[in-house]
Amino acid sequence: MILFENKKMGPSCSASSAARRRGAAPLGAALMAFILAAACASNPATPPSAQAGAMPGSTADASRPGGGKTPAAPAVPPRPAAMSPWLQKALASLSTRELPGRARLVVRRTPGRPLAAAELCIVGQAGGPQSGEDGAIALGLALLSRGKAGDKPGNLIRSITEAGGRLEFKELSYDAIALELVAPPDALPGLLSALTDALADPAFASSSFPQAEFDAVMKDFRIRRLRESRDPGLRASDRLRSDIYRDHPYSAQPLGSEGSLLSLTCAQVAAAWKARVGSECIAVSIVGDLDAEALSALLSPAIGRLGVRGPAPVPAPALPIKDALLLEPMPGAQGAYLRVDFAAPDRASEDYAALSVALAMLDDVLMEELRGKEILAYGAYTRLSFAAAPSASIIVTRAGSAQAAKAGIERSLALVAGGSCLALDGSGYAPLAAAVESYKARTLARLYAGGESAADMAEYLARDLAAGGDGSLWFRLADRINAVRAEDVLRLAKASLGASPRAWAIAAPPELLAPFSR
Amino acid sequence: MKRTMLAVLCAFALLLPIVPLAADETGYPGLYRYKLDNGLELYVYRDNSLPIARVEICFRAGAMAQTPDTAGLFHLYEHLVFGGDAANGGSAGVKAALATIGAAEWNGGTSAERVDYWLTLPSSKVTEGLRFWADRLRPADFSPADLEAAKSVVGAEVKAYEATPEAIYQAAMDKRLFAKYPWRRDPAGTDAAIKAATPEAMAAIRDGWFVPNNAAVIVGGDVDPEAVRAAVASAFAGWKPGPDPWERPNPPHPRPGVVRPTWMVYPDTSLPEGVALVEMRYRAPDLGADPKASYAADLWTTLVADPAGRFKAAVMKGVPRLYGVDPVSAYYVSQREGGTLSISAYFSVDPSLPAASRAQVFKETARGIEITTMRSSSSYFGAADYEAARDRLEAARRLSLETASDLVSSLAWWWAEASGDYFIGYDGALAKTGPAEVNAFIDTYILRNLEVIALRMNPADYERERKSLSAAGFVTVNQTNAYWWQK
Repeated sequence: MILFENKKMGPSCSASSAARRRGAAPLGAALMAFILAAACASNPATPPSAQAGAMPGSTADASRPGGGKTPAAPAVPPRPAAMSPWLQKALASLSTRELPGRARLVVRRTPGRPLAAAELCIVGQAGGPQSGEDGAIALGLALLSRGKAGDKPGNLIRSITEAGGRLEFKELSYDAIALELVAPPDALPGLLSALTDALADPAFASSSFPQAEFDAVMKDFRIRRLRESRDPGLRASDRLRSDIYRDHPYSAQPLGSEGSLLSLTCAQVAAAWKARVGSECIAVSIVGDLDAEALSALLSPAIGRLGVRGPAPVPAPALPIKDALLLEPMPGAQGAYLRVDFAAPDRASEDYAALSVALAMLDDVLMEELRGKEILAYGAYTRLSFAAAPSASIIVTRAGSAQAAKAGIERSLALVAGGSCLALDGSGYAPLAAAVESYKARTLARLYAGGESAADMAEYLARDLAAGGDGSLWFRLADRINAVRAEDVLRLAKASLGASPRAWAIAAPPELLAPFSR
Repeated sequence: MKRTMLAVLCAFALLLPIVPLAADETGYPGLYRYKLDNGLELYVYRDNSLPIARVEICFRAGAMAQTPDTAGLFHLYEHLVFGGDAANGGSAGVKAALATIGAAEWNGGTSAERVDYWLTLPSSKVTEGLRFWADRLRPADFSPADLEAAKSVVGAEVKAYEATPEAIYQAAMDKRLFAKYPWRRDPAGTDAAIKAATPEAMAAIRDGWFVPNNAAVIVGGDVDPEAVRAAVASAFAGWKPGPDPWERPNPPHPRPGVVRPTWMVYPDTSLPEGVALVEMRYRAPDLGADPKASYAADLWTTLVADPAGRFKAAVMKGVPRLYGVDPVSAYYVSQREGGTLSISAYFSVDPSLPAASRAQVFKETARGIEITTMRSSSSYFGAADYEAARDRLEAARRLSLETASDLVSSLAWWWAEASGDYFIGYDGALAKTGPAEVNAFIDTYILRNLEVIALRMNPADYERERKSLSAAGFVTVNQTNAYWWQK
């Protein structure tokens, strides 16, 4: 259902184009990403395939905030059960280590894989105070690509490129920002070591650091910000962030505001870095054919030099979800973009797995209601975030009528909350109990389809670390999803999709918003 | 296809043996290759790291198989496959079938030179995934009601697509570079052709192009190749071959694509004010006609892509206020019959340095001076540069083929655009490509070629420079004149 553009990179496809597919931005190439983005259209029938960091029934937009905990469905702790052979094998490949100063490391060993990946994360400092320094820590992290004091800026990036790797800055989730390094396994430890060496003594903190290097990174951030300001989906998300969640840590703007990105100087970034980035904020995940003990020994000295700046970051509290309808006029937007956030259970509970199955069912119902007999929108999908304060959302893109699309979403929610889903014999809707096993299979496939590459796996491990876990939750979800029962799905569907508050944000041309004002 | 047909297919599977073609001897680790008697090619890639698999089926079809009267019908056919038929519950039936097999991601795509379908599902459900496609790729009939519904969906999709800045710009380029047969580059086609489509026309597409001897099945993930082979035999062996749709190849698109250097400007709402793009685009090697030159094209674009290299430095120095080294780029789009080469750069808009003259300076610097110099000077790129470029290509390929899904989608693409052998033999062929081949490529495809020079700039910037652009001969492109079917 895609009309491909008449072009595709050949074998000379660059690392940066691969990065664009995943929605990340290679350092120094944000402009290209901005202008050349969307090389592949997303399937209106399924969530975008670029699912790095997304959970079952979700999109790559997992860094955006959403609902809060479910008041009507208190989290049920995991039932003790025998571990599946697959999970046993997966967990056996994981090693966790505590590095100096409460920094954390998790490694998944993947023998024989041609690439390795690492996420070097700063946890809990992503937002920073709502002052003129929004984005300072993120800029500092991105500037680590210029190496440590005394290095010639550009040497580190060049080393990475020559090793056949890439380095990207990313907003990992609301809990953390990260540098993602991908390289062949034999090259990754050395390159990662060079990056961590820069943590305590970054080149950008030196008075001789070239202004042009700072300007180049700042330019990438500004362009990213500009791109986001033109994206109706992100505008809707930002409205929820600034209005509904304004007192929550997730309301921060980790990549900077328009104002801060115009005023921040390199000296301010260096000062913020020195004041706020300590080893307690550092989490590292690594996936590759590499040894955890050796990596721990390699990284410890640099992490130790960074020192402790304060208490360990505390996982964010539940989001203050409430009923609301926010309208964001966007003249010139192609149709209406709708987003509704609602409550989600704790990530570590069995209910989280049950809700992920319910959302997989909701995906199909949404498509049927919004793109079935009548085409009300281009795309419709759900997402379930993996952050410390998780959220569930529905996103509808390019709706011709915001009002009709909202009604379609509400019909879909009511259907699943009422215990129905798509009938597996194609006859319309039927009680969801009969379809639970099929949707569990789909949920599992979605869970892992978004994590095939070393980088994607490393991102999942890092997200769990950043949210306060030990890095293993992505794997553990397999058994939890398999253990979901029909009654669990029914209960969660009723509580989360039916009874809980919903916060809506709609970004659209003014004429599509007008019906809501009458 | 109905259940009874599936039973027939299964019975046929017992009668039609599969001939393995050097299974596990493809030279690519983990990749197995087979071929059915009906001509269907099968590739299986084994990767046990996660309990999932991707199943993809690809056809050499799409826009390159179109005429002006059928432009858009392959895309319509693609939708009909997903829409199902009334007896099967329509699109709800397809969704239900996909849910039943646990499919996590699925889609189809129609491009200039291929049509493909894919899904990702638990590896334990691969057999069901193959049967899903076998049941649907060749609808037994096309009911008028289904066809009308699909036309409505496709019409809306095409309308939205044609309004996007990227589609407008690419269409305007193709209209110029592929002026003789532009419909062979346009999978979206025309509204008139889509509206006029009949069940008979769709059946003709099915019988002419959706034949096993014009298709490949590619499966990758936590799978056993022999089990997949058996499952493919069961699902697809009853599919009868047809006449080779490519027995008489298309007449080639002319090269040069234009009779003189051609200048155009596109006021592009997707660009922010203050930033503009200049691009030179050429007809480049076609994989069908000149595969050897395609390796040279890949190598050359990688040579000039070195951010610390001489080419970028010279362009940066020669053209005022370029945006930086990274956004100076060259890339080659490998296609069976529609290869293109693009050399481009972003620059900061500055009314004191008109965009029209900077586009001219860009062309003169990049082509007139640097590329001419690199052709005449054997020292422009040394042996170390070639070695580094090959390393970068290899690294990029490794990155792009990291996962089973990556490999399946990439192999499907290369199979359609060239062949499985091209994909498998790429590294070896690249290793044999050096200065002589690169020089031949430069001569044939750049220095003896003619280009379209295009500017993309924000409409507000364009308005400020409209007069100077017009005076310099730039034709303004917009949604009402970009497409080949418009005047």
